[in-house]
Amino acid sequence: MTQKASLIDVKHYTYTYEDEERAVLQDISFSIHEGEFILMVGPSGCGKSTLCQALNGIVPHVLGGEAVGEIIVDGKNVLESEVKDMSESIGMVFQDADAQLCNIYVEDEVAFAPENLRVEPDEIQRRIKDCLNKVGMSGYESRKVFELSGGQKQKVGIASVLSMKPKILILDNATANLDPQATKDIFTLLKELHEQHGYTIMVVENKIDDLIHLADRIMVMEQGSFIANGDPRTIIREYGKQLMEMGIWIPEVSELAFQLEKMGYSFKHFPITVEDAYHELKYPNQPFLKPRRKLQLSEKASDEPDILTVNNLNYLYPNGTKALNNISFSIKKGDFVAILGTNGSGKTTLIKHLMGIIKPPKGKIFLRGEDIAKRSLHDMTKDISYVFQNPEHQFVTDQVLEESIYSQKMKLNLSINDEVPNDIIESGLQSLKQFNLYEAKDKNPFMLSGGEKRRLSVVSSIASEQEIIILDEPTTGLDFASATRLLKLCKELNEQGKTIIMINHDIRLICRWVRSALIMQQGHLIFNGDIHDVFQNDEICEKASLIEPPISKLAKKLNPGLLTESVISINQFMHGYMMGGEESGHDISVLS
Amino acid sequence: MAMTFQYYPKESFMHKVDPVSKLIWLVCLSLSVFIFNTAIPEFILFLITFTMAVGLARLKIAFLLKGLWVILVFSLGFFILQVFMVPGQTLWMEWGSIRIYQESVNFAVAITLRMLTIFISSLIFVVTTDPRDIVLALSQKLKVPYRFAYAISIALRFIPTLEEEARVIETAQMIRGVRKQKGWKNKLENMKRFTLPLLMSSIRRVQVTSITMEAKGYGAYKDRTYIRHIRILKEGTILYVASICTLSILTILKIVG
Repeated sequence: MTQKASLIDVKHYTYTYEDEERAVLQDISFSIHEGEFILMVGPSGCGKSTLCQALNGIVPHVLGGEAVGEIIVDGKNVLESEVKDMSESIGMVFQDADAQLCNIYVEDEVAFAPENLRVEPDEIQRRIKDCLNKVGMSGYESRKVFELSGGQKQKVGIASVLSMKPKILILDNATANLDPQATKDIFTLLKELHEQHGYTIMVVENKIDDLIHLADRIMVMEQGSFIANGDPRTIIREYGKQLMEMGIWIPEVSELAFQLEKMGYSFKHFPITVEDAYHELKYPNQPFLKPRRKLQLSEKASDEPDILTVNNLNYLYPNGTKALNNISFSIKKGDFVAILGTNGSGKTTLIKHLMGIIKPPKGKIFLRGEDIAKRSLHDMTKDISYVFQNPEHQFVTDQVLEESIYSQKMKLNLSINDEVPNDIIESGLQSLKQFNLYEAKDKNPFMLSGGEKRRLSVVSSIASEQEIIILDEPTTGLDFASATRLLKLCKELNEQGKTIIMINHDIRLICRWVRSALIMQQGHLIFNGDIHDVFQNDEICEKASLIEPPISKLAKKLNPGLLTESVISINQFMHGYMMGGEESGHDISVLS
Repeated sequence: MAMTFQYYPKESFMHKVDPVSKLIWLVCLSLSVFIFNTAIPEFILFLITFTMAVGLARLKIAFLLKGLWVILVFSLGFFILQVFMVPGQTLWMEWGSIRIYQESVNFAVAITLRMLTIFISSLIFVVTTDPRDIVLALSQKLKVPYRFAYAISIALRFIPTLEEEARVIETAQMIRGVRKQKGWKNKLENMKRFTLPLLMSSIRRVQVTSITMEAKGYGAYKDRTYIRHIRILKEGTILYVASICTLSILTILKIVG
């Protein structure tokens, strides 16, 4: 690539928030050239978002605080310019799609910025057409923003900043709340904007498997400064292990490569994409993995009785669309089930029925053989605990320990001022220890970090005798370390005999920890079985817009047509590699 | 419930009227109903408003009743109260110690109809007016600075989101075992418990919203351009002229009569 002029130039930039002693950004220097595609990663709270906001002057012009150093963006000195002057150079899109769209109609949203900047109405009309077209949302002009799906909202969000004609587009964790298909669509859109329209793009992301091949450069941030900055392959190779320790997702094939290296394998080109890994691992006449017998991982669960049974369940939304269409399945006691499917496919509606949040009609849902139709929600909490998507919604006290024992207190009908029995406090402390929250026991739940909040919401929803735990997207927005820790806890609970049912979009986590899958598509249940069989069935994957885990793609590529069962996790891959296709064991232990 | 009182796009006379003219109509009508204290003129005004709702705004009677029933129940209570409480001279009915006077019935009917008229006319306004047009009308016609006018639009944009979230929080806490407990201390606690998560997420959301708006040049200049303009069509002119004339005539009648 020929060296183009730099579009962003940051020199010795230090920034401290108002009322804080430690600087969030410490002596940062870097530059970005016109037309580059930058991927920025770092653990949560490292200052990535602050840096993005420093580039368009939100920091310090709007949020206050003290900034020292120099930032030149598109020839303008940010510290000496107003935010409105920067808006025609940088367009920024954030994680919370709902919060950043402040108009009722799509068209008004796209027109909002140029109207504020006093652009002529005729020109604005042209821009609306052009920008909606660029993001693939033509025809949505007079739709209401809050009726759109999450992915569509983010596309409108992108269009609404493109209408200011910026040169640089920054996405700060913009896909964190989206399902895998919507995320992929946004990445595809970024690729088009970058390649066809020449935008300079900077993306802050947690999950980089589907994005890394687009990036010219990765910048790694930790505690307010850059610890690495360079070509993706070099960075992942040199800093990959460190990144994982910091709690950052690295590409699954790179994680595999580190494991293989440990066993003595060496790579010419360190793999960061499935393609890379395939070229490195294929042996002309000898498949890397030999065909093997079915692993039959689910056998352990199959002699158990059914704990939940659903018979021909239908549900219509108040507006008349069919949310659930003749759903029937049963879940065995002690199973670990993931419910998969795009947003809007009926997953949440389904689990709300299981819990009785939406009352099922008579004869549709049975818990241990008994119809739940007549039971109250309160009564259901004796058998099922339910963890909501947003942990804050379930917080009911102002102290972590209180929070963990609240349900038990309520069961005893204790009022606020009544004394709490010691054994309840003891059991609360015990579970806080188990979930690694003991240190935080006196804090306010709202002040915890994202991962801690999630864990607390799980602890506090689980009272000892409930046999079933339902979790609605428990890992959304968590980094690799927190998400893995949460899944490990679920696995422990599962091993103690609890049945776990989970909606989750993180296919890598699901494949590593979960046993069975239910797949929903437009209100229909299109798959019910072992998670290992999912990716053998292309039709189902396509219908449900499932994104295959990279490791599975790689295994299939290396062994075309030979696998009787998907290889869906690194451990399995390693297992197959070590066994070289011999009669294999039946249990796959998890290396941690 | 809340969804009943919102804008429904449709083709009708009232839909064509701009928000400013409609506002003038609403104000004139509201003033008119306060001129009289007797049943007959109030009934005529009520009839006119009801006819406008069905004829000019093309609202279905079933829809009107659905929106009206809460206010009807409330009015009925109010009506009964008035009948007994307001003193009068001409005795109309008598059961034992209960005496009902003609004047009090007349007044009670008038007050009740007045409430219904105001309610129906407000309903017509809300159902036939696109919220974004209100914002535009305020800033373009009434010269309200757009930064204030926009606050309405933002509020309207986030109401559905907040409603949704409040519902989720309610269920989430119910599952945790929160029950309606007696005693004002517990009630206060319940309230705090419910408000805090809603407040927390709102604060966070507002922060993102204000940052994005700032980055989109909101408030950077004193004025801005608009892709839509509010025009006062002949329907609007007819309505506001008619409203002002009616109000004037009624006022004169009252003074003279």
